[in-house]
Formats: sequence, structure tokens, C-alpha cells
Amino acid sequence: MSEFIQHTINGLSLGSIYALVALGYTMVFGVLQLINFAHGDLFMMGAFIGFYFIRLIHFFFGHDSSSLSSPSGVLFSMTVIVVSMLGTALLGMVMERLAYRPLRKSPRINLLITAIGVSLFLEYGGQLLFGASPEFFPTILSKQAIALPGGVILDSTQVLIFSTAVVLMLLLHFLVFKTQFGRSMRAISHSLEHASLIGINVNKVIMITFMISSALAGAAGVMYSISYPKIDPLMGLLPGLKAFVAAVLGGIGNIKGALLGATLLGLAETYVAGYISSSYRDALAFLVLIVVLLLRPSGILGSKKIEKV
Amino acid sequence: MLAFIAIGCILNMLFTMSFDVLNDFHQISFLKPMREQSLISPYYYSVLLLLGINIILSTSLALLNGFTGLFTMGHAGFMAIGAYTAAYVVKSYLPTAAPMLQLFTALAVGSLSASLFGLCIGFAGLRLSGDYLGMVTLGFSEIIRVSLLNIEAVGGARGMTDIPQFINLGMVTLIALIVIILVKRIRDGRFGRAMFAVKENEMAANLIGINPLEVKVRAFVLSSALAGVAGVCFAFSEGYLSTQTFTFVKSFEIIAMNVIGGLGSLSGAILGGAMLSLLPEVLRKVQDFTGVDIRMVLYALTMILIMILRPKGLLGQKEWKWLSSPN
Amino acid sequence: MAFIAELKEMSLYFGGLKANHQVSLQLFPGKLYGLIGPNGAGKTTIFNVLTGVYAPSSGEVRFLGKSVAGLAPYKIARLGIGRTFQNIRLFKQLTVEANVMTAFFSQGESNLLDNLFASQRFKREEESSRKRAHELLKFMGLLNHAKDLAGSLPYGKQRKLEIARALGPAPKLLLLDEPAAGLNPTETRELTALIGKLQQEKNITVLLIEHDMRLVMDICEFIFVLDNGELIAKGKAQEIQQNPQVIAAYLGVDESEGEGE
Repeated sequence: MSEFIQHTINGLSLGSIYALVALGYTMVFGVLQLINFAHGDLFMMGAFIGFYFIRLIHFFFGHDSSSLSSPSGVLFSMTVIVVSMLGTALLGMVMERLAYRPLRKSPRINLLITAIGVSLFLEYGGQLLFGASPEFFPTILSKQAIALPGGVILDSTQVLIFSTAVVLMLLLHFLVFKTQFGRSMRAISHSLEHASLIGINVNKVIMITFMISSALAGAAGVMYSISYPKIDPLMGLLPGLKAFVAAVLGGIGNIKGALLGATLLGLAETYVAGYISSSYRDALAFLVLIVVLLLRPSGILGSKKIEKV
Repeated sequence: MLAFIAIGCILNMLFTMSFDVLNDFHQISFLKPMREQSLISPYYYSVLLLLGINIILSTSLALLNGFTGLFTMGHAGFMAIGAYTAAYVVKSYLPTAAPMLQLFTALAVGSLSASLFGLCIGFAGLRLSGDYLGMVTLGFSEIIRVSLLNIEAVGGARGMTDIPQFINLGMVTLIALIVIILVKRIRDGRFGRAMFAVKENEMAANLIGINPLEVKVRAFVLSSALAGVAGVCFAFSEGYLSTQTFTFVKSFEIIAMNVIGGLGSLSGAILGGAMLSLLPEVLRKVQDFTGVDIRMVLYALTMILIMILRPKGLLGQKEWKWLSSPN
Repeated sequence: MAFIAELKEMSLYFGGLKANHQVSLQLFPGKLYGLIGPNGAGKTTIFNVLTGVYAPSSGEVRFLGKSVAGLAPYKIARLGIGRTFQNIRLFKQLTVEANVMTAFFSQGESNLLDNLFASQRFKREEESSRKRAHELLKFMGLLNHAKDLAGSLPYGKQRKLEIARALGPAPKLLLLDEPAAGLNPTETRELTALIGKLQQEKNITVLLIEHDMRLVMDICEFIFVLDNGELIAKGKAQEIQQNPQVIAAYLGVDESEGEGE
């Protein structure tokens, strides 16, 4: 039983990272019907921005390992996350402005190819800038085991990851469902044309959507690197793809669906790795995807469109 | 059959300038690896080989993506199935057979096994439309890849080695030409018309007596069989297989070939395949100039620029004269 | 005489929305029928039920004595029902002749191998279907456009091409959904003549939906009137024109009077 709880905790922690990335996929899909394959690479950029920021701080202020466990360690981690989010938001904005906006009236497959192009650009550009060999993400928060009753161990980084993810999601929820921006965004995902007709500044809303989703990916990148500290320019590929799968599972374009899909996927992966075998772990996401789509062709919470004759 | 051998010999002589083919015809030496004997440098030899394989892949995807309008993101999976199955069968059951027998077995096994998967995925995935079909095919291909990675009989994570290298540049060129002709014939016949009909208006096609499911499954089977052939060419010319070759990145690359050339155009698929294969090599010159390896960055940039400047791809719906369609 | 097609108390609901309710109508072979009614009366849904796009919620749909309710559209098409669409649905990237040739698909006998090896059988079949397509195009007056792309045709000719394509599988019943919509008076007259000609020369039963009352009254031998999903009247043109329920339905007089339960 305690093993099960342990797996559940690990799964939720992983799932919350997937969720942050999946939310970005789903928001961008909502406004542009674009599967932004470069999203996983923003996750990678987030990790690297964090990495260089930490190096910079260490360079100027020295490296004090005693602060890792204290509240200042948590504070520092938060700062790194915020800096990464700002950096990736800026990157997302540039990406949208230069690569996607010129294609607003093109067929969707062009957008997709462009997204693949942007993704390759970030990956190879990353290899050029950061080098192809993996870097080691510095420890900014020491892993403190918090023993819970029943032998379950809660890791301090997991607490950080999970709580940060929840806070970000609450912020996002507020933004999407309680603000003018959120209303505009939802109007656009309903129909871009109608939204522009009722006077919504479509370009601005799409740009902000990109910035928010990129920032979420950036935060996820740092959080992922805190628990899996080996980072390299291709690190975004697989988590990006899985988060995408999570978004589709829940019903792409649907924000609650992305959360649900990501949580399910995180849990399923840890259970399979824990109870069956870790070698098929990477295939599991896709197996779940196929089964769900065959049963519910538009995802768990997705709505189906009917062709009118 | 004889024509096949003859053309193969001629092509190979052209590429290798080696005339000993005619001396030991009984061994059919045009099937032997020629990379080292070739007149052109091994580097260009490899580039041209990859070019041929990519054109087969791109052309085969045109059947699905371009003609039938089925958005799939798992073409590398079919290629992997063809490559691995054929390599496994030839290595385990025909290790010492005549090269000709090995070749035809490989082609048959590779295309059949891939098309079998195409059939399954076709039936399973065709309830879905648009992006969702793409996602399911992507999922299938990743499952195939991870499974191959875990099957020890095909080398697992180490990859599959010591595959007889009997396919050379001449063969690949010949096979690519045949594939192009076959795809053109399909496109121009009644099945091709039905494919375009389903792509453009599935309901209208349905209401004039075309079963869209049948058309789509056919497209899937044919396309995957040809992707399997590309896999066979790859396996038996490289001599080594690793699952790293068949990631979803490869699938995306094949889609990009189609879209950059002009989605729906066979000539476009060929042009796009050629472009994306040669571009990194052309850009190598730039690397000599800049000193850093920025060619893949430029490659990505070129992709983005083409999409922005030529939204319909380089050729749009147009076809070259020798590939023009009566429809 | 036996019916060629028949709806018996056919109802179609989408959730709580009523599209058709208890519609019964019979079509005799070789005749030209009109189906009229205000917008949203459920005319096109009747076409959709007849052609298998929707399965009826209840009731019977028979064609040539067989129940076809809920059969796949392509199967019904192969039995011999052809149709055109309110919003033109051509294969725009194919040539005009290829559009018609797609309609021969179900009659094709050559298989994939014939196609791949370009066998004699395949070549013969291609040639004969091209010839048949040209005959149909000639009939519709489109032969000089055979090699043009369907999407490049002017609107009126696109409507004609859709009819030519619908004739491809040699239907016994042809359903035309607003064939004159968007046409100018000259084109409408031409089309009217063509519909009459094809019904007579090819002995096809025609059921057409049309808002152009002159066209309907001119050529339809028998007219069905739908309102609010229900059949409110049927009869010859004159009978229909004088039917108070029909007048009420069109002029929107007090609903309770207009509705005949």
C-alpha cells in the first residue's frame, strides 16, 4: 500500500510538470488550431535559461552550499523559475511574431511545418549555443526526505514542484476564466473570425497566449531539471511529445482536459515503471493515447464536431 | 525480371564505372556493395543513397497526405517495420542465399510486413479524422520504435548489425524510379481519382458510391508498403539499423518534404524529398565559411522561410511534364 | 404500379430537435417530383435520409422494394440514388471529366494490380469510362470544358457538372437540392430544359428541392409540401397553389391553422 502511495506521489509530481507543458499546447491549439511542436523546445530553453542564470548568480555572488536547504534555497528556486518564465515568454513572443503571424491565412499544415522548422531551429541553435553534450543542472534545492507515516517518502523538491505547479495553474485559471483577456482568448478559440469582427485585437491576444504558454513551459523546464538534472538541447523532445499526448488525451483545446490528461499520464507512467517494467515506459503514453482516441475520438473532455450536409 | 536486372546493371555501371558486372553475371555482382569501388567519393555516394531513399519515402507519403488527405505523422514507423523485418528474415533464414534471392525476399518481406501494419492502423485509425488520425499514427510509430528497442532478437538498444549490404546506389535509384512510376499509375487511375475525391469532399464521394473507408485503407496499405521498401533499401545499404533513425523526427521530415515540395503534387514530393536531403549537404559549404556547424540551423530557417514565402510549397499543385496527370 | 421509393411515417430527431415528423411519401418511376417548403422545413433532411447520410429515428425508408434505412450512403448510391447538393460539392482540383469519372468508381472491375501493372483490362476500362464521361458531359453541354479544372468553372456550369457527376452511377432516382439556386434566369431556363430532358431521355425519376416556384410549377408533375418537418400537402401544381395550408405556411399566417396534424 505504501508503495502505491509512493508511486502516486511521484506520478502526481511528474504529472504536474506534464500539465504545465500540456496547458501550453492546448492554449495555443485553442487559438490557432496549431500543434506547436516547438513547445517542447521552449521547455528546453527554460531549463537552459535557468541554468545560465544560476551560473551567473554563482559567478557574481559565489556558491554557498549551506543555503540550499534553508528558505533562501526555496526563494532562489522560485527566482530561477520566474526568470526562466520571463525568458521563455519573450522567446515565445518572438517566435509567434516572426514565424507564425505571417502564416495566419495559410493552410494549417503550413503552420505545422513551420512549427517543426522552429523546433529544429531551437534544437540545433541550442546545440550551437550550449553545446551538444549534456550539462549538469546545479543543485539549487537540496533533496530533503520528509518521511510520512507508512514509510512513504516525500521529497522536498517534489513539494516545490507540485506546489509551484498548482499555484501557476490557479493563476492561469484566474486569467482564463475571470479576466477580459481570458474572455477574448476563449472567444478566439470559438471562432477567430467572429472574434475579430466583434473588435477583439486578435493578434495581441494570440501573442499573449503564446507568451503565457511559453512561460508555463519554461517553468516546467526548470522544475524538470531540478528533479532530473541532466540537461541538453534535445531534452525537450520526449517530455514535449508526452505533454502533447496528455493534451490530446484530455481533448485538445480544452484546459481542464489538459490537466486531466497530464495527471493520468504522469500516474500511468509511474505505475507502469514501478509495477511492470520501465523499458516500455515511453511507449505507454502512446498506448494510452491510442486506446482513448479509439474509444473517444475527440479525447476525454473534447467535443465532437458534426459535418453539416 | 530481365529488364530489372538489365536496368540495374546499367545504372550501376553509370554510378560506379565498373564493367566487371558483365564478367561474372551469374553472381549478379551489381548487387554487391559498391560504395568503396564507386568512382564518386564515398561521401557523395552516401548522400545520393539517402536522396534515393528519401524520395521513396516522400513519394509514398504523397499517397496518404497528398492524394487522400490523410494526415499521418508515423511514416517512420512503417519504414522501421519494413527495415527490421526484412533484415531479420534475411539474416536469420537466408544468410548464405544468392544475393538476388535475398534482395527479392527482403523487398517482399519488407513491403508486406509494413503494409500489414498499415492495414491494422488504417482500420484502427480511420474512425478518426484530421489531427487525431495524425496523433494516433504518431503513437503507433513510437510504440513500434520502443518495442523494437526492447526486442533482443533485433539487437535491442545496441541496434542490428551485420546486415548484408547488397543494395547499392544503382539499385536504390532503380527502385525509386519504379516507386515513382507506381505511384503515378495509382494517382492517374480510378483509385487515385477516388483518393482525390475523398480528400476534397468525403461526403460527396460517399454519395456517388465510393466507400471512403475502403479508399483510405487502400491508401494506407499501399503507402506503408512503399515506406517498407524504403526501409529495406536503407537496411541493406547501410548494413546497420538503430531505432534512433526511426523517431518521430524522421516522420516529420517526410511530411516536410511533401509540404515544401507542394502537398498533393507528386513532382512536389520528389522535389521536396530531394531538397531536404541535399540542403544540409549544400549548406556544408557555409560551414567551411563560418567555421561553426550552423547548417542545420539554416536548414530549419529555410523550412520556415519557404512556408512563409511559398505557402503552397515550391510547386503548388503543379506537376512536371513527365509526371503530369490526365485527371 | 410499384413505388420506386417510399418513406413511411419517417421521423428524424436530433436530440430534442425535430427535423422530420411522420413523413410519408411515395415516388413512382419515371416521374418528376418537387419538394417545396419554407426554409428549415426539413427538405434537405429528407434527402439525407433517402441517401443514407442520416438514419431515420423511426419509420421506414424503402427503395426498389428494399429497406434502406440506415444503410451506408455509398451502398445506397450503388443501389441507384444520385444526388446533388445545395452548396456545390465538386472535387475542385480534378478536371471536369475526372469529376464524372469518379462516379464510375463503384462499377470499376480492374483491381489494384491491374492498375499497378497498367494491364490491358485497366487501360480498356479507363478508356471506356473516359468515353462515358464525355457522353454525360455532352448531354449536360459541358464537353468543351472536359479538361478544365472543376473549380475553374463558372457557378452555373458547376451546378450542371454536379448533375453530370450524379448521373455517373446511372441512378434510377435523382435528388436535386436547389439546382437553380444562384443561377440567372437564362441559366435557370436552360437547366429546366435539361432536367426535363434527362427525365424523359434517361427515364430517371427526379425529386427536386427548389425555391424557384416557376421552375417547380412548370416541370414538376407532382409536388410535396413540407412545413416544420411535416408533410402538409401533396398534389398537382394547381392543387398545391390553391391549398390554404400551403399558402398559410408560405405567408406565415397563424401557425395553428397552418399545421395539419
